[in-house]
Amino acid sequence: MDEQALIITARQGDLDSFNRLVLAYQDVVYNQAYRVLGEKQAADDATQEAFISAYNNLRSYRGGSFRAWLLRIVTNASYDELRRRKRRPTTPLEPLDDAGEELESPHWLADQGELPEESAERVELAIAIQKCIDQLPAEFRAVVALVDVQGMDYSEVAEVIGKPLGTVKSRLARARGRLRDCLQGFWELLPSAFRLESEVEP
Amino acid sequence: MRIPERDLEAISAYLDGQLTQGERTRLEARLQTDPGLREAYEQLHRTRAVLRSLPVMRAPRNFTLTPQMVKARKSPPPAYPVLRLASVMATLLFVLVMVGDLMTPRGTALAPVLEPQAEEGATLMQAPAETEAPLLESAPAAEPDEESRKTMAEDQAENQTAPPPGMMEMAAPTPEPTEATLLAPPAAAPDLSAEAGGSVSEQREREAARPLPATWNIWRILEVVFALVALATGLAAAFLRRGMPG
Repeated sequence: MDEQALIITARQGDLDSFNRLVLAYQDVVYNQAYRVLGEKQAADDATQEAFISAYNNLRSYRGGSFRAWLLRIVTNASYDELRRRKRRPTTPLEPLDDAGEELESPHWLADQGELPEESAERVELAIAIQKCIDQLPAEFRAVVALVDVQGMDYSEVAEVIGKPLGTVKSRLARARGRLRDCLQGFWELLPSAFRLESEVEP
Repeated sequence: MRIPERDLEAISAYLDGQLTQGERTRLEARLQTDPGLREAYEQLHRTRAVLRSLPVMRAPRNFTLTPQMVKARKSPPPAYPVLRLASVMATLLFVLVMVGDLMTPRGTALAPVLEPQAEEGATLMQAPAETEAPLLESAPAAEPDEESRKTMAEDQAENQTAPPPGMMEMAAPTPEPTEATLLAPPAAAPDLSAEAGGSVSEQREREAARPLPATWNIWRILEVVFALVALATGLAAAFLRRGMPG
């Protein structure tokens, strides 16, 4: 059964059909939630919330990309989760130092008096990148995740976040600029492929 | 190296192939000649490549829904959209009625309310024998006290069937028609008064004034009705909205 047929039957109340859509898209939805929230448990909650909300509001789906529609729902669910956690903080999103203070600088990973090679052995690069993403405002995180993780084009992202194309361009550029600054201390950790960039063409 | 935000945006869009042909050509020319811009381009290119190298995470579990999870949420009650629409419509009608009410000339709208009282006052100021005659003719069974207790609607009906001389005096303040009305025999009073006050402009004034008591009431009644309907349906919709998923 194809996607549109599953959506139609799910809309009629067939939960099995909807669950087949869930299985097809849960990785995409979870990734978006995780990149925006930066925490696995929060991403889990937002993903579940997004699918429940999607099922209950399936009638508002007006065709087009179902993936984009789900990403819009999970992005909003992630914002809601962020607001909830702000009101009732449980686990800090930022790492803590020895005194229990939140560290805002991403250099907590590299600034341990160790050589970069030793850090690279200890810390996965993916975690370092995510820590940098966590430094961004939530709206910037969402755009970076949609473009650079989900691989969407600008017009799709504009539709997902409900903002003009210019806003997408601007947020993405500023987010990448901040990430560039944040990642300055980690270039040595990167695989050689990233250190020897010199191509001009995008 | 720091570059202006505009250049950063251009490089970022260039990396995603989102520049127009002209913008692309200009940027490429600048990249050839501006080492600072070239450096910024390389840094941003590397940043983008690093971001795109992030592994796709697998969902830690299946997020399939159970009937309990779905039942736990209230589906939107079917009455909700109806109530919401009714509330919006009632509010719009309320605003329209308000605008209509405000655009109605206030002086003429109030005149009919004052009319019966003025009429009675004017009647009292006239010679009793001459003024009572038309009144008795139009409502022979009515006592003067009962007449004063009549409702505004009854007054209006009476005015339409047989306009009393008091009203004629209000509508036609010139002394000549008034005298003609007062001096006329009782049986001929209505006809004469119509003739006496019967210039075209005065008749128009009277005709414009007559339906106003009903109009005045309708404005107020509609305002109250629409306001109450808007409030009631809005509150009901808000009550139903609680518990619905965002």
